[in-house]
Amino acid sequence: MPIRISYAKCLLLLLTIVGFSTPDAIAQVDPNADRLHLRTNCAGLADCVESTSALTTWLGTRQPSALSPVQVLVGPGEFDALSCGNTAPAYGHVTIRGAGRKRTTFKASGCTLCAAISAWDADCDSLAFQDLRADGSFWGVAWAPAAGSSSWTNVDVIGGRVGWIQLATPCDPLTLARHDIWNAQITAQHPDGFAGNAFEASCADTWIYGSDLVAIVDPNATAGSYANHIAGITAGGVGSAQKGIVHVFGSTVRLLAKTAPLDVVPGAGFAGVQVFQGGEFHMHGGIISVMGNPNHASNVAGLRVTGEGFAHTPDTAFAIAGGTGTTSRVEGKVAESPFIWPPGADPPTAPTDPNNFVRSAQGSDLFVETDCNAAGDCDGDGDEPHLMIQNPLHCGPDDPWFDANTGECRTMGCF
Amino acid sequence: MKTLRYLIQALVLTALIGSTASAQVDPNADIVYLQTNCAGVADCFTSTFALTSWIAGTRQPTAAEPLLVEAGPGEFEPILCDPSTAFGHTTFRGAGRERTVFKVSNCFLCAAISAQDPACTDLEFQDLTADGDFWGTVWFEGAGDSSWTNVDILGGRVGWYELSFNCQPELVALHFFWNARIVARKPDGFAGNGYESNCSETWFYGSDISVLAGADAVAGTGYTDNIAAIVVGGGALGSGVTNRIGDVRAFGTTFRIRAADVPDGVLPPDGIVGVRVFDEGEFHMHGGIINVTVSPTNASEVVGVKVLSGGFAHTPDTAFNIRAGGGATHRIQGAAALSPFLHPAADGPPLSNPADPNSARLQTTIGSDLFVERDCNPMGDCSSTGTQTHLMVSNPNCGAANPWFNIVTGACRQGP
Repeated sequence: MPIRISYAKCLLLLLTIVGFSTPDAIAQVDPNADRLHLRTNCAGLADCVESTSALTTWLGTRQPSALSPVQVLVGPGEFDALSCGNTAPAYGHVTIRGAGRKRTTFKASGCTLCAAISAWDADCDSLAFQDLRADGSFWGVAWAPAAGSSSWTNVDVIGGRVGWIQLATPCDPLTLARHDIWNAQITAQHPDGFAGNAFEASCADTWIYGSDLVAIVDPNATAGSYANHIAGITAGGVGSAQKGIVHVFGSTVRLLAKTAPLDVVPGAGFAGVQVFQGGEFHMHGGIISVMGNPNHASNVAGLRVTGEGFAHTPDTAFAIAGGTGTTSRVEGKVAESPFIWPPGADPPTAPTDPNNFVRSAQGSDLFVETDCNAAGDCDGDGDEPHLMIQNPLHCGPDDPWFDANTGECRTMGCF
Repeated sequence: MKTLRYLIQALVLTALIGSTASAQVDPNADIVYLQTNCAGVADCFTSTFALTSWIAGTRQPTAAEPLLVEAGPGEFEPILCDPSTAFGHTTFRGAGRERTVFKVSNCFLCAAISAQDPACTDLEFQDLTADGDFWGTVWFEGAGDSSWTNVDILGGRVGWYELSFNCQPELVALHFFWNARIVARKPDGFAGNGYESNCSETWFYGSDISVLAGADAVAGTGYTDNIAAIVVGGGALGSGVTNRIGDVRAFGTTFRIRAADVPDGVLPPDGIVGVRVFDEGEFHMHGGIINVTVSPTNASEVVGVKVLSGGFAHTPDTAFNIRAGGGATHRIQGAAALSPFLHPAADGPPLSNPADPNSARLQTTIGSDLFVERDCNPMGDCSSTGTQTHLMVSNPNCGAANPWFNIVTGACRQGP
């Protein structure tokens, strides 16, 4: 006897089967998939997970390789912090591609010594991040191993204390991590606490193209000192076997401290770029800009090199605005940084004090003074352009300029 | 048999329902698609106008619930974010800057991408082209922030235009460009400016902004008073514009006028200019080049950076290449152009047209330009009589015919 069911019942049965079976199929992830989705809602989507922890767990199982890499397509929205190693499995050969630098955010907040994106194992190798944002209330990105590699394209990295930090100590110079960064904006800004550095390179070889690295000292920054400096970039380390090499092209390195509280006093002052022992910094094209609080007493430097650090910056522009302390474009004996200032009727100065001339390294700075006379009197009597060369050793720190026309230190004549 | 028939009918109906459902768009979708053909694709549109209507009317993205539009290859209608279809917090990501094109043509005062309302903010464009035969993109005073990555913006009159009548500081929008190419090109008419900033703060990284003024450009003074790769602080509207707040920063970028084929009759009254800054405009550039190339027979004034009243420019470590015609030629003009530049070493001062040894000397401001002359003698005679290298500094006080001061001799340059 045939089973007879009505049309409506048959339809209902089919829809029920479809309705129940589809989510199960979606929830499954092919263990060998080469492409995975991370979405806030996976409805209707195969090979998809809805949490960062599910993603890293799957990657730990999948174990991508150079011959079998994985692409993770991340949808719009906010996701938990992403870790490679430490509390998550370690993995490599993965591309994480978001929905846009302002659309997809990996976020870590309310924690200490944590990052929105972090790597903790040497197997965190060949990782690519694109079209996304890493937003951490402490660090934006942390790279702990003294090895591994990553590339970053069209990303925003925001950290409370530090935008991007490298943690390997000690560091093996033979196994340095390698990072390539394209079109990134890396920011350190703490809305209610202490501001640190935008980028700290202490165990990696980093190449940065067309990017903006900016440390912002918040007006509400807590008094005192987290480190002995506040800088756009630091390279190298203090007293340890650290090796930080940074190459920057067509980029901006900025420290914005116009509203820095006067009781935020970094021991070594403010700097656009701070190069320590073991650090190496190269920059060509772009600008190092330090905008200090005009009432602040801390020293301000565009490029400061200490110990055996090394810097090489031909064809990099500088803009320096200091306060009542010493204002330097370049400090340190191993800073190869020639620079021609715009011409003017006076030497470059800290903006609030016309007599507080910007200092620099011997022979590194030139400018043309436009109101000199033939005798070398540059107090406005003449219309000759005289080429001035920075020379604090011979001319002293208060007016450290040597007049190449006259072959003598710059003079202002008699008032 | 009847049961089998019911079953087949049910399957067909189910398939139809499924097909209809897949053609529908989830009102809460976080990713939607814009394609020339949506067959088999859920959450998909074939019309830009239908898409933007849905975004503004139904989806209404927010910072917490943003939207990604994945646009496929092909040509699409323009993106209009106007008061009737205003939206924000959306990314438009194409299939490649030469694969996905938003286009508008045969219209006046129109653009391929436009933002006309304060709600048009937090917009992101990536991997696509905006192609308009009038403007490539137009941004109205009061519209919000945007970010552009790996895009081409092509306009007929102006590549990127800001329409501002009374810009106030709170109306200034923030725009970032990464690897963008912005071009003004009108193959059958008058060429304007590559980029006009009069109510924004704009940051360029690794980008190219240019004007292609072709041989068929219309003769006369035309629509604007200049041809410039970029204009900062002033628009083309002239009268009635009380505030023009433009602030542009460019790094590792090129600003170019390629006007080598411009007819001699094209004579913009304010010259052919790489960068023009005026009113409350501010321009910073470090790394890259400002390149202005004009026909050898064109009599227009040619200027690399022109700073007029109220403007400011700061360009240390920016290269220049100026190749002018028969008119006055300046690397920089204006007291507020802070632009030191070291020319290549040579046996004579820089010329207005390096290809023509008989062309006039390049003009500039006092102290801004330096070059090393290689054929001087100890007496300061630099008419190829010696082998000494003398550092020369620009000094118009030495006279327009030979505006160089010899640092070695402490006197105006001697030589042809």
